[in-house]
Amino acid sequence: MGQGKLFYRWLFYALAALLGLALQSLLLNRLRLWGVHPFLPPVLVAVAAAWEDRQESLCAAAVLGLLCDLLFSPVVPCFYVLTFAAAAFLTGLISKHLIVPGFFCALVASAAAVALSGLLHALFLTFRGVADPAAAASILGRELVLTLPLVPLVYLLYRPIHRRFAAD
Amino acid sequence: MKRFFTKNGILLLAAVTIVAVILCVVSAVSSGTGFLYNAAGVIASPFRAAGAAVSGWVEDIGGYFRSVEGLQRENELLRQENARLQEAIRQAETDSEENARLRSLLELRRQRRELSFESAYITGRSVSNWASTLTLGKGTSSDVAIGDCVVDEYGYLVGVITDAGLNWSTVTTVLDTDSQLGATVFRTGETLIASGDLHLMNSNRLRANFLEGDLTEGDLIVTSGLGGYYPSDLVIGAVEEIKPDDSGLGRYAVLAPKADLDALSEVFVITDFDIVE
Repeated sequence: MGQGKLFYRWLFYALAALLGLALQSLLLNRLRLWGVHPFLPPVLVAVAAAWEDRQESLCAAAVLGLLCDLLFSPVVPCFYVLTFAAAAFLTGLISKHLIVPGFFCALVASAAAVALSGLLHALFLTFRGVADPAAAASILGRELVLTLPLVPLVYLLYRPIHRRFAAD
Repeated sequence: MKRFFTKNGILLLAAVTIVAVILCVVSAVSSGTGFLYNAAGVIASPFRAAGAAVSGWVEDIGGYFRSVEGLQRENELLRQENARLQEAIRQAETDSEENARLRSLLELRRQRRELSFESAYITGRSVSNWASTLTLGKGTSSDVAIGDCVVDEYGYLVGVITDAGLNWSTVTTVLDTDSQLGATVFRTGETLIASGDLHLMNSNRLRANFLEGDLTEGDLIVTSGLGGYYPSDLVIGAVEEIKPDDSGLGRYAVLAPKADLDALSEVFVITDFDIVE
């Protein structure tokens, strides 16, 4: 694939991810059910990483993490850079060794990414001595239940980009 | 480009990771806001402001669809509350005059309560379910500093500034697990600690730990002002429920914050205060 194709592919992914972040900020943050709201950013990372090259996905995840760190207040600086890079790495392992890339792979990878993000949050709070494991597990469970139904939306958003450039 | 990524992708990621870890460590060990974090916040400010503007516009549109009946009912309740407050003010004026006379007789210093406010719009909110923070569009260039209290338009406590950059600052709200405030029960003057709790945060509640005393539902909890770090008598919330703690030795109160944190768009930072009780 030429440089131009690679650039446009990730440009379209970036625009789609920005749309997802706007959706999170403008709508999903206000959709509170059982006290929590869906958390889309890890899904944006995982679905793309399930299809694309592992190293490119890692870099893209780090960039999206940086954007999230700049826009949203993380628990510690660069929290999302680390979390999303780890999520992309994990997704790369899943899509290469466990499940064939596709919707089911994206779903499993998204669940893993949201769980990883929640676990790292819980870990930081535990490190500070303010987390109760039962409460943390409860939040993580609710977050997963609310976020996973949105995976098809992200999948459908990314699929035309993947198909367009995979054909080349 | 692909070859570059293939050859250097891991190196790039490693570099980003090392920078991220360094930033985390620097942030953890420093008491103030680091230069890089400050600069990142300055760069992000226009994007946050744009996001807040769009978000506010969407909310304004939603506001037009509010039920008229609901507003009429709210108006009626507010009229009743206004009448009660007018009566309380008349009584308070008499009490205040009597208080001034008695203080004069005892040669006590005149009570004084001077707070300096800096208004600021909320340009961002925490998107995760694990923290409760707000980002403001004002920072150190407007005299906003770490440790300043933030209140809403009614004077109810929203939180405390925990990070401040040049033109931005972060408020850790009273609900966040990092929030810990010295507080008193307005009715009895008993002191306690009001703090965020991970279990209660998602239901917009916080907790107040206490060992003894007669705390009852509806009691108003205000900042104690002990130590002089925060102004006294800022309303944190009201007691909603009293529960035994995990050890069974103490009790804690579930507090409902008075500030409506979800509906805020503008807040006021107390940049300076001078209080004589």
